[in-house]
Amino acid sequence: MNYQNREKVIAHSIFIIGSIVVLYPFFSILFLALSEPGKRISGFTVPSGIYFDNFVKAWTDGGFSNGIFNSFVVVFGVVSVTIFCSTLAAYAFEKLDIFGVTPLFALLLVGLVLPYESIVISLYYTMKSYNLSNTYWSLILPQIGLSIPFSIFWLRASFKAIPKSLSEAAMIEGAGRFTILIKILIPQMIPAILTLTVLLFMWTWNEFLLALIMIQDADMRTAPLALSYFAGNKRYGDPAITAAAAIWVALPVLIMYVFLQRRFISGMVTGAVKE
Amino acid sequence: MSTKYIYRPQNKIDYSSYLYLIPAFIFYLVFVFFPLADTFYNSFTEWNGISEKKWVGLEQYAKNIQNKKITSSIKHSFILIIFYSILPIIIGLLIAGLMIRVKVHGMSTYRAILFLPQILSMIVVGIAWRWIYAPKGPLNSGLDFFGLEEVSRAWLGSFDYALPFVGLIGTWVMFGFTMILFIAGVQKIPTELYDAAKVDGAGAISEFFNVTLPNLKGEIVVALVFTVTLALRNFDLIYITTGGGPGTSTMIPSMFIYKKAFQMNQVGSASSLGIMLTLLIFTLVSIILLIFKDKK
Amino acid sequence: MKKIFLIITAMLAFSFASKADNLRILAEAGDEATLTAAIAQFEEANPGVTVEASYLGWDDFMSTIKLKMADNNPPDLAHGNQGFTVDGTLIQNGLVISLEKYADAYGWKNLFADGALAEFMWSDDGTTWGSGNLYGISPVAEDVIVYYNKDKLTSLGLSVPSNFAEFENALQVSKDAGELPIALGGADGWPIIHVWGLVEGAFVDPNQTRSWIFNAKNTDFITDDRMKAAEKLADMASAGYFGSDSLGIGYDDANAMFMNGQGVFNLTGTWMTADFNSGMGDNVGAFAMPRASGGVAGGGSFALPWHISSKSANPALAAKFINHLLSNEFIDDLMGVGRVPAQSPTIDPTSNLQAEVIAASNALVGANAKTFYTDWATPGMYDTVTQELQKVIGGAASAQEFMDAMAAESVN
Repeated sequence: MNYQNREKVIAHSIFIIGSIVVLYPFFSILFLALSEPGKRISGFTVPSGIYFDNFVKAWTDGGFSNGIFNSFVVVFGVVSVTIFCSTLAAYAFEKLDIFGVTPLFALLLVGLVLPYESIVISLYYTMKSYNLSNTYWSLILPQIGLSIPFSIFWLRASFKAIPKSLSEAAMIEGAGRFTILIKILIPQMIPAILTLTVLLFMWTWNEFLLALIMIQDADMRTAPLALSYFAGNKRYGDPAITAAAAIWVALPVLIMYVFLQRRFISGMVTGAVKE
Repeated sequence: MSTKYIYRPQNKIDYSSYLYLIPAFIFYLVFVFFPLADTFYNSFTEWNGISEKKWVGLEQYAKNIQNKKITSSIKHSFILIIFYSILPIIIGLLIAGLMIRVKVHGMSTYRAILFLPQILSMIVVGIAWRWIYAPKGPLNSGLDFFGLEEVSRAWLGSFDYALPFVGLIGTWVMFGFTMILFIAGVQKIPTELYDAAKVDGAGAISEFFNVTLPNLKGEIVVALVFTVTLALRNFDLIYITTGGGPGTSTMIPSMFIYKKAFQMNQVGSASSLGIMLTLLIFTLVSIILLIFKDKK
Repeated sequence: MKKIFLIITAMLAFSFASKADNLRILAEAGDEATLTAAIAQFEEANPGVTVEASYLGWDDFMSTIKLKMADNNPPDLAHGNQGFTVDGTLIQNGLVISLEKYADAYGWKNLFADGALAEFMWSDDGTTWGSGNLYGISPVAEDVIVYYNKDKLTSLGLSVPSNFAEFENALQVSKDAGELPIALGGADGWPIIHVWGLVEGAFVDPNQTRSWIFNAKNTDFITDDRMKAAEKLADMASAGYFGSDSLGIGYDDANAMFMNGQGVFNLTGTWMTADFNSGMGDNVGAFAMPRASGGVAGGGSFALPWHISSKSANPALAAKFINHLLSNEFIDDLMGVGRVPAQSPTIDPTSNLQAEVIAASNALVGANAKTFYTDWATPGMYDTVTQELQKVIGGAASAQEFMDAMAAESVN
């Protein structure tokens, strides 16, 4: 075995070990969820057969049809408004000469590292005083605010990458700022916006603390909140049913990941570095 | 037309470009900045969430610092940094160092798998690991299978093991991310640098320290900032796995904020703890950025 | 910005208009069977009325009930929990209403002995507990007693202990024989409160414990007797009477273990009677914990109280529902779902176990030995006592450290 081959074998071994470590918990709960209802498996054995009963029971008992619908509503609201606002702002930051951008940008930086765990208390009391707690608004509005800093950073970097020559011709023809943005720059930005959409979808879908605090009605729960309450209600204490519920909640993001994994990865890896 | 700008104001009173910033800043100011300022104000009061706020100055901060449960929760956060941050970064760097010139077939598949924990809700992750660590769960069954009954135990119910084992969940979530980040970084390092090091007779280890590490600086900063903030926040995972227990052995500041604000109605105290957590994160992030800036 | 908010609020206003004939109930999940029966009957007896109930598991209930009641559109009727941790806060913040008016109209106070409802009585500012106006009520009594596996006790050559030393001896014998002496779900924290209540009761005068719970600020927590009890609990833990994994086992798992033959004793509440009965048949018995100096000791009280939200659009309907739960007609239904009705101590047992449970309850009532639950004492006590008891069970705190932490929380 030559040097090159040996390195390749080592590399593959490392990746395979890493993959097993990552996948083990997945298969562990998948096997658990697919196990025979009521029969508590030990967790170190392959199930004797495949049963979908746990999935059915989790779906009907846990109210996940509601939860998943609510999560989609919140995701739609957060993603669409965030993309709209951030695109305009990132465009202004990068392409329009504005006096005083540096302090404004620094202000956004604060939001990038701010632990929102510390501001939820105030958000809760504010929302409640405007009668907005326990509504979609209480989840959508704060998450737009929280998503905007990252989104502007991400989109600004993408605007930067568009060569100036593209917009120059239009400028000479006297096109306005807004026309240039819509007709020339946005089409160039589609891949970046798509990637950002995927990331915002995932983060909003997975958000938990805000929902825990804002949402009191069973009908209004988001998917992760419904999952947490479901797992906490000992009546459904069978770990196999809880496992099935967890898979339901993960499924929409997982399906998206299967088709768009490159966007997830490049979004987070390059997005992170660009910052 | 020598600048990058598409539009520049024709005179000093042309503020029209600010219109583009307004929607984003309204959301940001109203839902992030205002609550932060409000929390800051509340941190100087005694307030149960309903009655009048009572101004108490720095009293809440003083109480927090004297409260052993709170100081120990901050200590727990630092221990979690080892698991969420240091460990994944070391693993990522070591592996990236080994992969310098290897082109692996099927890399995109490996990458997709290794990245998987990043996309999942921490509630889902917590439920999966709660099962793995359960007294009769896969981990203990595995240990028993290999005749290690002595070792197996209720991991999350142990005062000695609960915190590190919650930490290991964080390592599991993070190590794929750091690996991918650093491997991508290594591939951008020009091969000439390695060839030059070879000519100078550098071994694998000095090659790692002299070429790989310095050139991954940007990625290391990113990984540090990302993982350290997550380790300090981390509410979802603790909430779903241990709730801070047994005793207070896995209690962390964000859990305390939640309990104080919404279970004990000590909103002022919770706010001051929130500000302390914010300051702690800002300080650590600044330190990370400063350290890596100085080396340049 | 305020304007935008107002517009949005106006747009949403329709969703807050609660319908007068719609009753929304939030209950701890243990009452799902009770409510399912009650709601069906109530809807039939009151045509046009719809009742919607939602349920929360205990941990989620305890961690979010105050948030849920403080909401702008809270449930009409909801469970609370006696004492300062939940009820006191609800009353202090004006989130629930006094039930005096309805109690008088329906005659609820006549159902119970004088003074029996003290745990539901509060001053209107929610600062004094044990007297004042009636703020909650429950149709169900719960006692904390000792369940045991009959086969195991017999095969170990033991009999039902008649004092605490005999109980301890039984634990040691069980342990020596390789049995798990006590099945305990310590991961949840609160089940240890029940164990502590019984050990405390074995040594401390129940009157002293009750006055401490009602008025922790002005009553000593640290007494010689209670110190003895704390040391006893620490000794029991270090002797391994709870097994080595109890802090990793949830309450339901511990009960499942007990029903599957793991654990000689189980120190828990009478709400488990129906489950144990169906899971173990005649192999399970029950007795009231014997005290060190004779007599019996026990935790317990009424079950979780029902409260009417101060924002309810129809408190009268909510009160009518409470009255249905308290009515004579509903007693059999309560029995049917395995609850012990609080208002009629002379019920006919439907099983051997229930007979023993009723005997234990009567012994506790007769000895005036019910000591409620430790976590009722202060707003932060639930957190403190669960955490500190976990430390004692896990060997992470000594009896002295436990007592000090509890005394500090008492005056907090």
